Amino acid sequence: MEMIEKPVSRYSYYDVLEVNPLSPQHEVTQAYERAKATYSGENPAVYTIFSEKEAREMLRLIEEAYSVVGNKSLRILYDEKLVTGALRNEEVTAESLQTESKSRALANQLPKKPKIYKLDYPKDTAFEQQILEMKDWTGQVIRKVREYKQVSLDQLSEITKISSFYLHAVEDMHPEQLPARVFVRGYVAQICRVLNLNEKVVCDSYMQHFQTKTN
Amino acid sequence: MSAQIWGIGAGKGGVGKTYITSGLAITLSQLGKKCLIIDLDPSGANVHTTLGMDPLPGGMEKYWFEGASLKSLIRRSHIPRLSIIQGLYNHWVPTRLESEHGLQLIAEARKLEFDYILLDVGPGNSHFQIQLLCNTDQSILVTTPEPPSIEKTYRLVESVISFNWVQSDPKILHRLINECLLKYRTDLATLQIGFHDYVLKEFPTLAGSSSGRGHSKFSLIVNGTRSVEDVSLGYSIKSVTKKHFNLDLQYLGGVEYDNAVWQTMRNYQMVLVDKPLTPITAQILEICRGLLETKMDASLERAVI
Repeated sequence: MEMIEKPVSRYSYYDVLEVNPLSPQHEVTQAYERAKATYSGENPAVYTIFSEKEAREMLRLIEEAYSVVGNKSLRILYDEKLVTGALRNEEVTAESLQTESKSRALANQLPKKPKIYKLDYPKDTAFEQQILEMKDWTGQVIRKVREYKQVSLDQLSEITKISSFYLHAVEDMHPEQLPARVFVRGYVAQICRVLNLNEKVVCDSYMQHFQTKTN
Repeated sequence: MSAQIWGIGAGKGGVGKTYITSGLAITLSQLGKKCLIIDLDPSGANVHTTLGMDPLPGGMEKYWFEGASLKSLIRRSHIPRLSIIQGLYNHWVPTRLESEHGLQLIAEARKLEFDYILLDVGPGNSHFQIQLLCNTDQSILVTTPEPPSIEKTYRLVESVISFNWVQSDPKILHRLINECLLKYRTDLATLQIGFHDYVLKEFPTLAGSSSGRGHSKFSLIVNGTRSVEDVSLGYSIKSVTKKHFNLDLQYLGGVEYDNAVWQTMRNYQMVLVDKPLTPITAQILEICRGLLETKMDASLERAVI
């Protein structure tokens, strides 16, 4: 019998639920259900060992353990502490883990920056200015800008994952070769992002032209 | 390979130790294992009855009081591969067996040529019985789902644990444990440690050296279950035993209450032989499977180490 070798220490949450730290989530839940059945109500298995007050306290421990180990992100955090041995030095409770997990989540939540594609082409200041002021966008104009910025259709297709057939059809403004209008607007928006154009202005204007073409 | 020795004990009488012992032995022999049951119940032995055999002079009394060898007392049963050594017969006087008797018996039993030797230890917690339960390969505690039986199972577990504590004077041990219990009960935070570990924290000398301590693995069977709740009681007992006593009990499962058991018993028959098409057969088989698996785990563990 190996009853005495274990050092005298507090139970870990896994000990409380009597489950292996490597157990998958469904086993943890099963262990929790069993533990709850044992220490709540009048289970004859508790009789003569735990008083009512003690059983209630045990149940509280079980709930606390499951609130951590039954929660994926808190469990990861707890396991980290378990492995590094940090549990021995700091007082870890379900509450402290929750606060820590929240602050970590906030720290990781960086504002999403729109991706800017670096395009390498000889700059023509006059034309750049013209693009900026351009209000009237047709497929023709988009093609002109694209060719000026030296992005081939194949490259554009690779970045946007839109087939070059559709890209071609967008520039030629062939509604019969394209899917529904919402998709077309999506395509144009993606092209704008790659070519670094004002998405709203280009899309609005293009879709107006596209509409007249369809009619 | 020497025989695997399993001890079957219980805190309370009448929970079905003998019936479970013969059930396990019959199942093992049907699985092709050579089995022996040694009937050690000091309070009146009757393995022979559950197997439908007539008692004959030449049971354990010959071993204890006339110096006969265990080997000479083996009787074959009518079930292939299953033999028994009958318990005390025509003995009359109250038995007075000590823990040394237990050790001596196990040492001799290990030399017998069997695959499995099952010891029906009988109810109670005498030194002789606890010594037997602590020195087998596997000790199986049997309980029924009723509170008196569960309560007595815990009393047996307490005896098993304190038996391993080094303190020859029972009066001092009694005082130490009670002092501890009093302090333990006043502070709910101690629940986080468990009573067993708490006692050792308060009195580290009790643990002593690890030599001389038993090495049994303990497991549990709930006999006479009538509902799913009764079966899951085993998990609860396992949990309480772990938390309070820091003793790992493997829960082997429940064996259903079945009228076929008493019906066959009245005809001096064993239910697994006379009415094998009861759910009990499958349940005992499942328990055997669990036991054989743990044995395999242990050998696997050794192989890995």
